[in-house]
Amino acid sequence: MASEEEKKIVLERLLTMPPNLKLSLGRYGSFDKNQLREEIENGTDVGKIFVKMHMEYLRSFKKEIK
Amino acid sequence: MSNSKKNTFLITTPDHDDTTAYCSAWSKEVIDLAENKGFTVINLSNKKATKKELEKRLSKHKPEFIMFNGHGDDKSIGGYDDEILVTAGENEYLLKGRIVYALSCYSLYTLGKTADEKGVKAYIGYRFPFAFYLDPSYSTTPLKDKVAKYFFDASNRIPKTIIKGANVGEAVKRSHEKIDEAIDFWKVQDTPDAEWVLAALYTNKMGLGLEGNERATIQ
Repeated sequence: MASEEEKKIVLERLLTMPPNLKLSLGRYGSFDKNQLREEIENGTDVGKIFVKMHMEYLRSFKKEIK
Repeated sequence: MSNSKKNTFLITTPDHDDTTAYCSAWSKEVIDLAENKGFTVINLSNKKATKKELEKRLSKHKPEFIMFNGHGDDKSIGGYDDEILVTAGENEYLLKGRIVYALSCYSLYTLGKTADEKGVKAYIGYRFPFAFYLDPSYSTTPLKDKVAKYFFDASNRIPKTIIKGANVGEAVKRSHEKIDEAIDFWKVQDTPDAEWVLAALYTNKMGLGLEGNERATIQ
């Protein structure tokens, strides 16, 4: 379950996503940055998966630096 | 004249949305390799990727190796228009004695396990979503999409390695290595897409795995 803090972090970082990039997420479909923002804000499954994916990646990156 | 039996490779290539169209387009190099290696290739393309057609072809041709492109969840894999082809607890016995690669979300989680219980040689798939980034300007020419290439090069390592005769454990290892190569590349790119591509590559790396005998080969 994504916390409000995690959602905020990912929403902030989404500002840097280029407009010509789309995430394909299986049967959920493909999403550009604006659609991903909406999914997160509306608390949908896609939003939750996307936040989880990104936070896992950021944690792995942090571990690597340590 | 050789009497050796030709191996058979069955693949599903539905293309009813962006995701399946990309997965199926990038499967062309796998099909080409299988044909070049002398396999009999059965391609259930587009509307032919149905449960009825799959069951008929499995029964008639008994393929040693199956690759599914399609949407899935933890218990099932879909075909054209998301028609369910294989479901845990229902018809995974169809996979008995075969090597399976499911380019599909989540299916390793439950279907991979029940297929193993029902005698699949090996089931390779993803515990998490198979995620990839694409550039929509290439939606009609997916093979020219330079971002998507990193995801499908890593995925295609699996069927290509198996078709070349290596075991499934080696195939998964080589795919992980290809993901690591892509991660190393994107880590040093100072471009706004790098962070997002890295996160999806990392998700696929963590999700990819196998059930069954990791030494299984198609021979």
